[in-house]
Amino acid sequence: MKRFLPPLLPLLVVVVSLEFLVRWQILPSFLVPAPSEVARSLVVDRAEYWTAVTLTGGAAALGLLLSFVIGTSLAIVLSTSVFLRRAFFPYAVFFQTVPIIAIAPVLVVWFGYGLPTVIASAFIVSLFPVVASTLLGLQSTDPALLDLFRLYRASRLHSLLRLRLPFALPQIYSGLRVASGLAVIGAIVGEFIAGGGLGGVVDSARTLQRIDKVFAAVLISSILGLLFVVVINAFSRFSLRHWHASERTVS
Amino acid sequence: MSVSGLGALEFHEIRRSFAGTGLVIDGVSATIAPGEFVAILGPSGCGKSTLLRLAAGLDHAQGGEVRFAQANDEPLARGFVFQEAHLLPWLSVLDNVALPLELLGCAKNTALGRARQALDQVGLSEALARYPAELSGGMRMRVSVARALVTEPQLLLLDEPFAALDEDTRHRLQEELRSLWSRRSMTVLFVTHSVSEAVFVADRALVLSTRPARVLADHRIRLPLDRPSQIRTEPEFIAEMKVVSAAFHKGRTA
Repeated sequence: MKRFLPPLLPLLVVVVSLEFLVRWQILPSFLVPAPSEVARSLVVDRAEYWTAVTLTGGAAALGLLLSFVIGTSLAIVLSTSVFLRRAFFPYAVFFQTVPIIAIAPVLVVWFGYGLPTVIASAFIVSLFPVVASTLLGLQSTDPALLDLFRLYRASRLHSLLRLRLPFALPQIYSGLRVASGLAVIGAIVGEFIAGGGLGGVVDSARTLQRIDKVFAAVLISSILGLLFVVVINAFSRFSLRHWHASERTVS
Repeated sequence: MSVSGLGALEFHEIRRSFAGTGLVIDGVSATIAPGEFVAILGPSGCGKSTLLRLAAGLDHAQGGEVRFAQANDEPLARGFVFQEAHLLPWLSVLDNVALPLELLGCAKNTALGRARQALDQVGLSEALARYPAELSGGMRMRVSVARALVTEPQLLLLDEPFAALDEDTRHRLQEELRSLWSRRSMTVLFVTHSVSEAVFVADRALVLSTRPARVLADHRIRLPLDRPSQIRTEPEFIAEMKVVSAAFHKGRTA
C-alpha cells in the first residue's frame, strides 16, 4: 500500500482540481473535459471502447510479434558478419527516423483501409528497438564463454542457441519493452488513417466535438501500452529467474 | 627437445605480438613433463594469460611452436579454468558441468552422470540443482573447476583462478586443487601473480619477466607432495618463497 499511494496522490490532485476548474468554468469544457464526463463516457460507451481496444491491442500484438520474429532473425544475420552490419545497419537507423505519421498514408495505398495497414504500422515502429538491442546483446557475449565453447569445438549453431541467444536475453527483453509501447502507438497512428480501433474512436470523437471520448480513448490506450509492458516484464521475470538472486522468490 | 609421454607439453621459442600492445611473448621455451604441476608466475599484464591460451589452443603463436602429447581426442584433453567462474547463469550447477561433454556430442545421460562425479570430486554433490546466482564465489569457482575436470583432461590450465576470492577460501581451494591433482594423472599449468600461491600449489615455478615475457627463472619447489595448510608458515616454505620472490622482483625491476 505504501508503494502505491505516492504515485496515486498527484493523480488524485490533478483529477480533483480539473473537475472543479471545469465545473466553475475556469477551463472551457470544449478544451478539457471534466473527469466525471470522461468516467461517464467510459461506462456508457464501454461496448464501443471494448471493441476498439481488442482491435488495437490485437493489431499491436501482431505487429510486435512480427517485429520480434523478423527483428531477432535480422539481428542474428547481422551479428554474423561485419560486412552485413556495415551494409545494412545504417538503413535500419534510417528506417527508424522516418516518421510513421508520414508513411502511414503510403501504407494505406499498399495495404488498404483495415487491419493489415494497422499491423504494418505497429510493426514498422517497433522493429528497430528489437533489432538494435538484440544485436547489442548478441555482440556482448562474455568472451571467456566464447573461448569455452571454442575449446570444446562447439558448432556455430550450438554457440548461437546455447550461448549467444540466451546470453542476449536481458537485452532482447529491454528492446521488447521499448518496442511494445511503440507498437501500441504505431497501431493507433495506423488507425488514424486506416480507421477502426482506438485511433478510429479518437478520430471520429474529435470530429464530433466529443472531447470526453477523445480523453477516454487516450486513457485506454495508455493502459493498453502499460499492459503490454507488464506482460513483457512477466515473461522476462520468468525466463531470467535464475540470473540474479533478486529475481528469485524467497521460499 | 622432443615431447615424450602423454600429457607432456612443450613451448618452443614462442613469440606472440598483438596490434596495439606490440610484442607480448618473446621467445619463451619450456618443457613440462607429464603429470607435473607447474606455476607460471609473472607480474600483471606480462603475457602469462596469453601463454596459457596458446597452450589451450585458443590462440596461435606467430613464431615457435606449442606441442602437446595427448592420448584421446584433442578437445577432450584440455580443461580450462578462467579468472572468474564464468558459468552460464541460466543453467543449473549440474547442467553447467555437463555442458562440455554435451558440446562434444556426448549423450545427455552419460554427460550428467560424469558431471555428478566431477561435482562430487570438488565437494559439491549437494548443490547439483542450484543456480550460479545462488552460490558463493568459492562455490562458483568449484563448479568451474568441476566443469574443467569433467572431460578428464590430461592437461588442466588455470588462469589466476582464485585471485578474486577471499584469503580463507583461496587457501582452501589451493589445498583442494593440489589433492585433486595428486589423485589423478594430469599435467597442471597454473598462472598466478602471487608468489605464495605458486609455491604452495606447484612443484615447479616458471618466473616470467614484465612484457614482453621471457623466462627469468625455472625453479623446482622442494616441498613434500602432501602439503597441509600449516606448511605456509614453516621455515622450508618461507625459504622457497624467498628464492621465487627474488627472481620475481628481479624481473619486475629489470
